[in-house]
Amino acid sequence: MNNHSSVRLTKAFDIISSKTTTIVLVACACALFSVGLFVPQGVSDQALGDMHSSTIAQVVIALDAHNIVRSWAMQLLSICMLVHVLGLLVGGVLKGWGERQSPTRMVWMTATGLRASGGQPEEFVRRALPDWRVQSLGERRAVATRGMGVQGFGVIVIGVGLLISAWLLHAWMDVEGRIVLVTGSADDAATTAWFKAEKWEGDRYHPWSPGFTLTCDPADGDPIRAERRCIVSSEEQKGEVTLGPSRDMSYMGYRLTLVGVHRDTNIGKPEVRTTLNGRMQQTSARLGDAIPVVRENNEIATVVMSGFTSADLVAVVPAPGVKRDVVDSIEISVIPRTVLTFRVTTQNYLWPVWIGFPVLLIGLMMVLVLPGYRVYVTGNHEESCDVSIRWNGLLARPAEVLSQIHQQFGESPR
Amino acid sequence: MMSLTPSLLLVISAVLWGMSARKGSAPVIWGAVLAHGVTAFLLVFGPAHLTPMSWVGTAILASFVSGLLVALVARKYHSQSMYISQAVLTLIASFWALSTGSQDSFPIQSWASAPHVVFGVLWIAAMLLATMIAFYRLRGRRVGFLLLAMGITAVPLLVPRASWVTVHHDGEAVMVEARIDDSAGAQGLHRQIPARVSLPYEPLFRQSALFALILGFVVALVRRVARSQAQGAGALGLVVVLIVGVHTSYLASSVFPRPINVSQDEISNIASQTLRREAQGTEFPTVLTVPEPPYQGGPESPSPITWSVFALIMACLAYVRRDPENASVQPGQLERLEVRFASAAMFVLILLVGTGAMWSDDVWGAPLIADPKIFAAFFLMGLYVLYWLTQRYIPNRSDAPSWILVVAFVVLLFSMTGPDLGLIVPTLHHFPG
Repeated sequence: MNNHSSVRLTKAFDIISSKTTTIVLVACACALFSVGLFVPQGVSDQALGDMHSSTIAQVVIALDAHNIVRSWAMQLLSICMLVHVLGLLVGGVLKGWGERQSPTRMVWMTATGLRASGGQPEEFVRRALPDWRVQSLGERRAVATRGMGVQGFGVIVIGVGLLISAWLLHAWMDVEGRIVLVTGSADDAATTAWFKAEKWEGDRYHPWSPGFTLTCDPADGDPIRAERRCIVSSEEQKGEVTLGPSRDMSYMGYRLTLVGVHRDTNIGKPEVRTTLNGRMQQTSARLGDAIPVVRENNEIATVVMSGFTSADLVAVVPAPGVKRDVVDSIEISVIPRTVLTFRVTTQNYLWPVWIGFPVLLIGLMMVLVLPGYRVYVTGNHEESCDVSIRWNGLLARPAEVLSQIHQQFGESPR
Repeated sequence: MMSLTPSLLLVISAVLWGMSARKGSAPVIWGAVLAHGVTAFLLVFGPAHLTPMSWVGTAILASFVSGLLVALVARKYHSQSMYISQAVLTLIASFWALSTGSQDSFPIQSWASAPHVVFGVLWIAAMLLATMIAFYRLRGRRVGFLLLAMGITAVPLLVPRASWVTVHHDGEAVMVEARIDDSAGAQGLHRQIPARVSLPYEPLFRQSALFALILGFVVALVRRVARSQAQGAGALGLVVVLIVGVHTSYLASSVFPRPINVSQDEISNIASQTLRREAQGTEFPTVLTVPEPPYQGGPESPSPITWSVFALIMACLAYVRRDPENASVQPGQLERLEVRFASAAMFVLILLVGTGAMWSDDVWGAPLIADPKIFAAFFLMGLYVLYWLTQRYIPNRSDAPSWILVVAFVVLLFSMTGPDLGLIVPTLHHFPG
């Protein structure tokens, strides 16, 4: 490698691991996260077109702004951050932490002109702070350190690295799909026909065979809050579960979460329940269909479907010779099909998140809460030393450190 | 029903904080904390109408915690600025307490839910304190504060909800009944939402305030570019603050009921727009039923008032005289306090997101979901990191970290009140105003 390429490489490495790069990358992340505040996430391209003008919808779709976490911009930023974090780690090891620490604003209580023996900073600081780690920074400068700020920074870097790698691993390796089905009894043709499984690959959902099928019964009452019986079956086994709000299913390593419920009268035939004297008769019908109501093998009335809600009239035509009070006691319920959407996920690669999060928390505690000090001592030409203290952590008490130095020398700064 | 007790207690607390700024005797300071504490107690345990489930409840609890911290640390640092800031914050909280709030009980759905709410309150308290100090340190930065005030005044113009009041009839909120069809044309859902109308003349007042702020901003910018040495706020500053103050007062007056002349069609149109926005194109309201007049105006969400009050505070901060540092304060002392509160806020925010992820995993099926509140939390984490980096590594731009804190506060405002105003997309977090 000649000198030119070596210089270029060093320069590139400096850019990768510089503080300015950190600031730029974090600012970019902020900008991407802010998109999630204003653009609805996870909606289809068609719904976006309905909500916004064509121009805005096209820009949003091109930038993947309606799916910002999975967008190409976020993945690019994650990779840049990972490279940058590695650069910071390598830079820290190669160049030494002490040298990389640039001057900071949080320098406090600069005590000038403390008399020192022969103006030797290292000797001064060893006497002033006997139990501290002391490092010489040249002939006229020394630093004494205490605390775990540097280690804390390393732990934060590891935590952030784990979280970013978990993000990428989870996005690339874990399965994310969805199952759309309509409710009805398990042997209902419409229920079976409308079962649809899709898997997220690339940038869209593709048809998928998860190795099992799922059917759910219609629920009485509020379709969102009601409990419903679901049957999940594969070639090997068949399971039944009662599904309610905040209750997920786990099957064959997949987690199934109910994320969408809506009614659709155009799918199959709505279910019709007729009840007479406590006996329920269940069937399905389209608009205009005639449903016979039978008691003891005798047809006592015919129900004609004329709508799907309680606001619509349902015609009940009595059979000849049947008394009015018998017909009046017929109760009729029309239940449109409900479409359920389940999110299907595997979380095999989420474990680095659960490790990375506490690691990050420990690192933050070491940097932001526990006290850490760096006491710089610079000798001047009057056989005395200037002292400045840098610190981090909520529990840091720099005044006490300075007081300790003063007590050691029995004087106040000049 | 609106209860005045929490608001009155908070007004008393604000007055005591104001008195503390003049003469900070311990009984007065702790009296202010006590009055605020009683409100917080009523909020959590008493028959008050607010619960910690609403953003208003969380914000009032957070302002109590910040008051407690001010009482503990202010004597050591710069007491006057912190007492005044706390007085203003408590006064704003008294408006929040007039909100009709949420009647929901606190859901214990996961072991992480209670710590999540506690960390939420602690985080907002730390955030408020750090921002208060940043405001004080940046006072007199005319261009920056006027720009922010302009933004805060202008943004609600983009959405109609900023000028809404809830319509009442015989002291009860009027409800609009709507039948909803889904995109396939199927009928079924029936919804009831409160009837709302625009507060008369509010847009005119808002536009006047915006015009005054733009004028002040342009003058400040020209002075800055020309490097003018003139420091006085003069008549212009007084006029700008007065016009913004009139708008804020007018908006704040909407919390009291007043006769209002409005047609059923107008109420029906606003209800229809609200439902369409909530459904995001998937469902459509068809038949809307509005009860007969007469109507009275009454309080709506406190979010527009909150925005307007902060615009007024920023206008005041822009024109406040930037005195030399108080002799009783050592150089950098307030900066160090700001760093401590910002560090605490960052640490608690991580805990808040962590416990929230566990709660979310239990009830929503995934630790992290694409919800605007979660995006706001990550945005704020990024801002804290930027704050920390600029604090350490950009020594020459001494104002930059404080401005980042102010921006973080505006993001917090967006995240808290945005769903109420329709400024951000609907959120799964049940956090009504």
